[in-house]
Amino acid sequence: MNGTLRLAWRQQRLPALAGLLLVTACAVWVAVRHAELADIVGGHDLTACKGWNGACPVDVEVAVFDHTPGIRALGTLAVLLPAAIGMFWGAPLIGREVERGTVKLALTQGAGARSWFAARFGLAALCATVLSAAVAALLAWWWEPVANMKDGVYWFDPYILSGTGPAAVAGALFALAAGTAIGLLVRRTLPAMGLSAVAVLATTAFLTLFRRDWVTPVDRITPGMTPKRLIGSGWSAGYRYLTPDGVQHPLENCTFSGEELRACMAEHGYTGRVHKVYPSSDFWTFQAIDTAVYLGLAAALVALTAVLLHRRRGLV
Amino acid sequence: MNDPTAPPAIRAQGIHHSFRGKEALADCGFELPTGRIAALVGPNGAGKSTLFHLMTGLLRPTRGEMRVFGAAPGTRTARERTAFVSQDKPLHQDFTVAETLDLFRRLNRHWDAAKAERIVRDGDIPPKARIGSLSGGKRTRVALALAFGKQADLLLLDEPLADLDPLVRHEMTGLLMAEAADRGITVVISSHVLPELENVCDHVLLLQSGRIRLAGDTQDLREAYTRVTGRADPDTPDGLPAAADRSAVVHAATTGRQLTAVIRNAPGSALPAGADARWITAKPSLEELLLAHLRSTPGAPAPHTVQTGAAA
Amino acid sequence: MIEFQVDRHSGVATYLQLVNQVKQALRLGVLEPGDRLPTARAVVEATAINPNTVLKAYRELEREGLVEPRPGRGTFVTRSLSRPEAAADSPLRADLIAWTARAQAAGLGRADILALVEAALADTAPPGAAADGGKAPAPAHPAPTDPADPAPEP
Repeated sequence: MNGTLRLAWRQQRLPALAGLLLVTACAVWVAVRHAELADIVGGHDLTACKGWNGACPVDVEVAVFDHTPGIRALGTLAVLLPAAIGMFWGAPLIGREVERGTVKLALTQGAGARSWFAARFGLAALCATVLSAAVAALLAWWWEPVANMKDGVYWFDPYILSGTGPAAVAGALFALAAGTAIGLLVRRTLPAMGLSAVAVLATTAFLTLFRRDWVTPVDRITPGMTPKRLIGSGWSAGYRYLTPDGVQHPLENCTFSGEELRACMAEHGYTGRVHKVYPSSDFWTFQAIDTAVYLGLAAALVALTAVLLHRRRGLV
Repeated sequence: MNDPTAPPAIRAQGIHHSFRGKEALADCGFELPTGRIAALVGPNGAGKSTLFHLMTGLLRPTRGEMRVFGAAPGTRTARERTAFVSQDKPLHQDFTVAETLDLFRRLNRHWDAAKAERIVRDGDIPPKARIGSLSGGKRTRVALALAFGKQADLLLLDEPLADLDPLVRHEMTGLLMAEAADRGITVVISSHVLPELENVCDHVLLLQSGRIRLAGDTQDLREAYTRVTGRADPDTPDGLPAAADRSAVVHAATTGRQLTAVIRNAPGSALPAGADARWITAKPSLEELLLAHLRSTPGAPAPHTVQTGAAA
Repeated sequence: MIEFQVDRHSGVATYLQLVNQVKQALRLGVLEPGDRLPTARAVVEATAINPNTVLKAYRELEREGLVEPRPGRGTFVTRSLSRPEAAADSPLRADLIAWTARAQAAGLGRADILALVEAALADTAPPGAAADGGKAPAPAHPAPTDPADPAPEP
């Protein structure tokens, strides 16, 4: 092990150990709960059980009901994990060294700034990847048998959309890079920790609010008044009315049901209804968006940090 | 070391450094030949630490060029030949002393582990002790052990002795001098307590308000000035005879009828221009010379740099 | 071996302090021909002064023919300044001890005795040689042989 890596490990072994403990505790918990769930769900064919309107055997419905709070709790942990990594791992990574002046010691040794930063950030990134991937995998594994069922947890819930898959890992890496850059810019650990948490949560919130705008939902058209198609595991993006020329009109124009609706539709000349839906296969589209945004931001922030270090801005 | 073509240990040319719009150093230029033990003196806030940070590459100058053994500070060559003890003596608080020594051994290619360990041991510092539990003086000793262990050719020490008791201060200075005698290293050591360095340094850099006021061999500098005492001339406002070259006066003061002044000698002469038989003249001590410069208004007369060849 | 003491406030240039201490040691027989002077490294480690100051002192001693450097081995004493007349068993010393005892018996104190000796020296000295009598510094730092440079050395 070379010097800078050893120094990095000596300074990061505590958070690494904390991460390991967290993953171990989660693994034990999920293993127990997953075995429980597999026992109940195992014997059934659950194809018909998917979606809001699925038809589930009673014991499966009970299992969905029982396991949803646990999955949500682990999902919350998975969603907040990047913010925690940004706060407790990223912000002090350089920020504390600058604050305490030890950066002056570290950067005047034979091993230079580039090696020092690469070792610290590389080790932290490796740990963040392993940690977030482990939590994401445990969450996905637990959720999978009861995915998109009844009142349970759906693929488009933030727990799953942000808490599992490559997006979760990319989010952790982004958080680490953001914390690191903020630490160097702010030069004081405590404010840098707060700012990092805010920056990471704000980015996640932004993606959650706006990522749908970048993907076109599927239009499910039902002619006339015939009952609309059941949504299943899809993610509803709202309703429209259709005129024969193919133009869609806002739902607000006719907010009635039954006879009143028929009258209203006839009055406007609406001949059908449109249900805009993101099918469950869009999970991977959204994951790709999140992953690309997070990794792009992470790369930019790492580059910024490297340039600031290279120019020796704000080290002393 | 005696190769005349070898670059000086430090060469600064036209260094400016601004921080958030405030100028910390302005137009600093000097050369420090190898093998010198230089005192970097000046009042607090004169820019001594900034100058150290520029010499170690922890800061880059806004303008101008700094070279350490001909290389840019912060580059591998410069880093390997330079050791720096910063004023706040930063160390990782949660490491043990032994861990600290071991880690810094691994960060450097040339490391004298025995020397570093001996310095720590001589201070009765247990290797298993956490850095954070040590007193200020002992932490300084560990910081100096790291600097000595590095086997550098240039030691940059920013107020290294400030929090040491007199006995340890003497011991550490002795170690530093022994290192200089053994390996011919170049040292820059800062202090605002000048007498502390009088027996130690053979070169001086006087920094005031971000500018170099005086730079050069201590002996040459002292010989370039004269301390004058005598009866103040009642016909001039400053007490100096009308014939005296006022641009050469570093500092003059009158007390009652007595005049004391430090004046730069005329070129090629051992006395100031217009020297008067009524004056009592003497070679100023280093402290007198520095104090005279510090008391005079900054900027006038022009900074004085005495260039010398390599140390004998 | 000799151990140097540097007095920062004595007003005597540091290298002269070293020179004088070696001469004193030679007079007292603490150093004898063939003895090695401590290395510059050892001196600076003990005294915390600039190595060049030690080298300057040793060069001065060499110039006065008291020591000689032997490359790779160190600096060695070549000449003694001790006088057999001042040795512990010399008749002169025995005479002085006897005289001192008489002076004490007559009620003279230490200062009286020293003053008497100085007066006797002044009376018997050849003209011009007793100029520094009245302000001789402490024995460890005899007055410099060169015109003293009052300012400290680097």
